[in-house]
Amino acid sequence: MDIKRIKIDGFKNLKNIDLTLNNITSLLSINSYGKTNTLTAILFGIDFIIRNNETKKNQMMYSPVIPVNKNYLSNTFSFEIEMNVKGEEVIYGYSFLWEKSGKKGKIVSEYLKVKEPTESQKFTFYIKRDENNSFYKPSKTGSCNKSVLIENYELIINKIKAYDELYYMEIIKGINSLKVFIDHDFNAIKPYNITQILDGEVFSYDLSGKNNIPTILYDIQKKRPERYNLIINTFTDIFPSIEKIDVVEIPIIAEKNIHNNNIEPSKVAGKFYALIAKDKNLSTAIDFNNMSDGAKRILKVLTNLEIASNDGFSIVAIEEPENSLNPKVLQQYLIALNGFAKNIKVIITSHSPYLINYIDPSRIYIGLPNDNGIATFYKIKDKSVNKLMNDAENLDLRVGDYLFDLMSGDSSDLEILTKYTEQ
Amino acid sequence: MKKCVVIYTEGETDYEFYNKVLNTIKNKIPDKIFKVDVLEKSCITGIGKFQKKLLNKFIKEIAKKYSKDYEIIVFLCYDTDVFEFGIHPPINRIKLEDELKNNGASKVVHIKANRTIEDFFMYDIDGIVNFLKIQKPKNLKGLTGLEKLEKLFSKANRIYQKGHKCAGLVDSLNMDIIFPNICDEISPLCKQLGLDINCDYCKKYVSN
Repeated sequence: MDIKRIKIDGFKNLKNIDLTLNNITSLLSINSYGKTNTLTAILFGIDFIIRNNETKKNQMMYSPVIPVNKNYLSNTFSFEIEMNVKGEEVIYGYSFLWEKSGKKGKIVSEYLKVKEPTESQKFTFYIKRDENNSFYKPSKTGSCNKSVLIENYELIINKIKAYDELYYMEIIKGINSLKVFIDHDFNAIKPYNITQILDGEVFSYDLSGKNNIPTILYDIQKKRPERYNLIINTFTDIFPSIEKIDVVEIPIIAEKNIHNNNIEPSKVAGKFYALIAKDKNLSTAIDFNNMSDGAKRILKVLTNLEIASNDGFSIVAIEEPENSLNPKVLQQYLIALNGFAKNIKVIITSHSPYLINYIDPSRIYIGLPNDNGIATFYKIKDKSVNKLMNDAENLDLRVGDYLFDLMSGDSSDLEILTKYTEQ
Repeated sequence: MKKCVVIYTEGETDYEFYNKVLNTIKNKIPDKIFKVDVLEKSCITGIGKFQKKLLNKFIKEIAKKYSKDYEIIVFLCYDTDVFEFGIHPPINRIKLEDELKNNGASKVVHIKANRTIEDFFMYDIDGIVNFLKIQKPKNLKGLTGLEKLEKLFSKANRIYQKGHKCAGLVDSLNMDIIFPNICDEISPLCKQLGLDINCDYCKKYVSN
């Protein structure tokens, strides 16, 4: 599923977020502006689609994300996603009233529009709902006027999943299986700690952040060796002093416990997994855990992208990918992310001018600083890219340095910055 | 007047490739000696300010030493395409040419790979597939050499890292195959280094 655009409004301090997604899209702003809120809102919005009705009810009353900014007290959360599902151009959206001040949460709008493959290329409604009425399109020739009974906390897109006869079931299923992953775990040590897998234990992993990277890589190596090779080759291309990485399975053979005769040896028997790296400058191979935090984070991100790709995730967001990394490897890192993200849209947040120097400016969204605490990100205008680059060059700066300089400047800098954006 | 030729490339792979180009030219010159008094080459890499860095290197390492007694000819080797993950803004080579001339360069020659240096590499696709240990694909789609090379790397479970050293890739290229195909681009360099551009080696290509 290829997500092209996301619109969000009424989440924490976010107002009218409208992101057109490229392979890699970057969000820049000063600290505590709303970058993380934007990523969380995307996760929240997609979760609301795929979760059960009980969870939806809880989401509608989840106070930590209900807007409380006195300059923008939105009562409504709105979410819209534009995507390509099995070759069809689709726009799906909904909005609900937050449950607050004694008023019950309630879905107040929902729509699914599909672009007709005819010459007109117009979008046709397949689902249409307002506060009082709910309709769907029952057949190719019919209109979107078939009524459907729906609860206040229920989405039509979930309900009609059971209507097997619908000719656009692929679209319905696609929207119901949207997945997004946010990597905001800067801990580069924990994922490499030794974890034992006991005999008989069913090994599984997901993107919950509790994964053990050596164990996952061992599994990928067994099940998808070509993808394992891609991860390791990409890593060693970025860190050429590493000649080889091996993932090893080490059996734990337990003897009968002399202190507690009740424990059967088989209960503690199992395996654990370790990554061994051979650096050309070292006389012996080392435990990967002894490598730099930057190296560990890159391998973790590449592994997570592989999991996301294999599990059909549409978006992976990475907070501050530059963390712990020397600027020298950032260009290669971006090329690697782009290479892994063939079927995934990657959103990054960044505080690194070095990283941003390598991003096409038309794929950058800027959070314009303001005094009212509201976060809105504006894309750099396509037609302003050349001017931005010329202005940076005239100041003998790169684009990343120039943008961060303007973001940290006074009101006149902010005025200049605003002119480059689509505000 | 004595002659100094300086070659600037903008990436580790490009640097390796032009080294190989130089070796090939040298081997084609009958006495295997470049007809220049000084030949310098430099790879401008780093994380930004390439233009200033290149100019500083030129002033410190070349102009100060040779500008009085030498005709300094600078070759700038680069792609005509802007690389998606290249540095922004890209180097302004018109401005750079002026700055080099203002600081002692007698002549600045642009060797432009149309559209990417990988288009040069792709003339020897057999060398590349051997290096990657993959089968030669029947159809290889892509608008540029870079796109095609990326696809070949992908078949070998690798991601091509443009501009960054890829051990063994340039070594695997057969210049006898590539050279006649890039004659137009590199003939000014051949000429300056003393390889007659109408030499037998290139004639075959020119007559085709």
